[in-house]
Amino acid sequence: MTAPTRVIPYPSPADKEDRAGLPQWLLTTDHKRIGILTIAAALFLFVLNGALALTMRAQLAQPNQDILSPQQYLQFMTEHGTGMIALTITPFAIGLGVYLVPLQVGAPRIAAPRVTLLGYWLYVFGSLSLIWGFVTPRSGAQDGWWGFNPLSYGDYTGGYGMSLWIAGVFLAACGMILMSTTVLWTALRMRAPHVTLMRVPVFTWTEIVTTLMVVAGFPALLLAQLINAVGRIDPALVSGNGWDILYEELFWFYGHPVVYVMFFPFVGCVAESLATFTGRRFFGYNGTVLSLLLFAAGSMAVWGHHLFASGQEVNDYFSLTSIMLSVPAGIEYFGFLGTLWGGRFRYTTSMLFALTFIPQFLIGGLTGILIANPAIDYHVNNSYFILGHFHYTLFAGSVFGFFAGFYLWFPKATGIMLNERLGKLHWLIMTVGANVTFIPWFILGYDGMPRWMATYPAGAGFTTLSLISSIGAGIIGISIFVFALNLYESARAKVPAGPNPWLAHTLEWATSSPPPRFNFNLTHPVPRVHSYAPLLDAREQAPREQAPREQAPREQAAASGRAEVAGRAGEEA
Amino acid sequence: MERLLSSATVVVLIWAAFNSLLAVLLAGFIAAGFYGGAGRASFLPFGIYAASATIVFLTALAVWLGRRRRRDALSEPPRAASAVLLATAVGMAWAALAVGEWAAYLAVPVLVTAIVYEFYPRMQPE
Repeated sequence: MTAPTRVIPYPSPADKEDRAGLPQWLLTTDHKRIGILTIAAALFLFVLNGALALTMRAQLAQPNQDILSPQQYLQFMTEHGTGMIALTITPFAIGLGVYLVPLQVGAPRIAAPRVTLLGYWLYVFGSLSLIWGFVTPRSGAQDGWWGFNPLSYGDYTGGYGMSLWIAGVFLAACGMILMSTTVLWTALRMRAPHVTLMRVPVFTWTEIVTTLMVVAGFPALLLAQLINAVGRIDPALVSGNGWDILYEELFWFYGHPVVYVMFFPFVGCVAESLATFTGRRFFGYNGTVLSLLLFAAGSMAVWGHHLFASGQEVNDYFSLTSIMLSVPAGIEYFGFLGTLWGGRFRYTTSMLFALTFIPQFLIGGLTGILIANPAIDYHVNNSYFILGHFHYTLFAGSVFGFFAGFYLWFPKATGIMLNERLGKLHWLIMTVGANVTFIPWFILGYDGMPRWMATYPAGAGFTTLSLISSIGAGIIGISIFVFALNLYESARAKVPAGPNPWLAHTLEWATSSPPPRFNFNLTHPVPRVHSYAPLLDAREQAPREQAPREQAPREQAAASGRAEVAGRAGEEA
Repeated sequence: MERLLSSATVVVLIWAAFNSLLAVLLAGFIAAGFYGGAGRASFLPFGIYAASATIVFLTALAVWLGRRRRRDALSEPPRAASAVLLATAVGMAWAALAVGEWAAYLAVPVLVTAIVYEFYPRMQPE
């Protein structure tokens, strides 16, 4: 006899609205809270791993320094690389999706919220495992962010730091897969009535393709780390040339798609920011959606270019597919520029970060086309040129895109405005710092400075540019301090945001700031959606003169930090 | 195109089909002997790529099967602690790789607690 199943309706009485307190936050099934927790954890790790980078730059500012021993340098570099990719920028990308996608598709919640919560906690435990491994005395992981195989086996890397690194990477990747699956399902199957897929914002489309990539690519990382784990227990079981190549293929099958996982959502952030602050619809929506689908699919077919120099790869094929990606990338850039063309610019902090993303990511992308050519790649392989390329894509590109989104959606998530004056200072210092740090790396790499090098001799010709780069890293550090100051100041000033402080176009701005527990309610219902910019549709149908009156006081208030002005603006709105 | 891309299943299928096309192209390159350096031709990269494309086809199947489910079909009892307990158990099991098998043994009661916490309320009558 089967016991009757108790079905608890959703929303259930047990899941009360807006419960405060730490346990309620840590056990929450509200996608908005899980998204905020994910981004907060990633921001903490961003600062931590950034501090490691600053220490490494201090070491390299002058030749023959011994701030760090060679072994410590490798440990710092391993933690910095893994921490930034697996624990910081990927969670930024997925965390934004967890927060925003249900709102943008008009869903009351995310699909399978407890799976999302499970994913978040796996990510947290993975992060703790990596940090634990790093602080282990004399035995932290030191085999690079891709865990060189068989160097990472027990025979070659002693202590338990490497084992904790493997466990941490596995757990964090599991977490991201679970969170991505729920974001994907929400976008595909939980949209509000009349919100068709061609009526969701560009950001949601970038999350759809990103999560597809996670589902298709990240399991390869799990398999790779299982090989490493067996190698820690009994290296004889997984030794030999075949295993080494299998590991490399599996790792890079994750390792290159993850670059695009750390790219597409920030393209979405930039697209939303540009459309909002030019007052226009995103240009070429249909073409951009199609190009995103093809771009993401093509991104799964380029991993082999990381193995060009191994002599074990189909170089012609991977060179062809890698260079081919410039076509859909060009379509997206065309969309950016078309949106800007003829727009009425509002130079908010978010807009400045978005505008800076465009040329800076272009530098990363164009140098990527260079090294997609095996002949050039052989020359600059494992040099600072490669570091320059991917730091321009990941920091000068993705992190700038993240901040464009952060400044755009912070008022929505918290209900308060960030200080625009401090925000613009943050943008200015970070832009200077990023370019001063990373431009010299192209020259250093082309001149033969290898990565992984803990120091260099005085006569190598690397001193001046290394010093300039280290100064730039310090400037980036200052910009992060200004950002933290902005968070503190804004939390203190509490300038209320109102539902739509930027006059943005997409569905999440139709609800309150912060949104209610189930995103929309009787006070803020899901409006009728006819396009991917429903609020712009509504404004275009309303009398034209209302928009400027609503906008100006709130932006002025945010800039000056005067709560009372914004409060009045909120009442007018 | 708008109608085509408005179907969730078709979107995932397009993605899977394009990946399959690229995987077949890769197999063609390998079969034709376009292999780098001194290495020997191997269909390993194709195998990995084909396996991944298969995952996407399975995702498309899941999306297609999910089309008739009610909007609240994924509703669950809000026993969020079982998810956290499960994550803790998995984390402890993996820690065994570093600190010894005792951590895996400690993970067992946590896992059992998570399972009981999850399923016991479901077996109770209304």
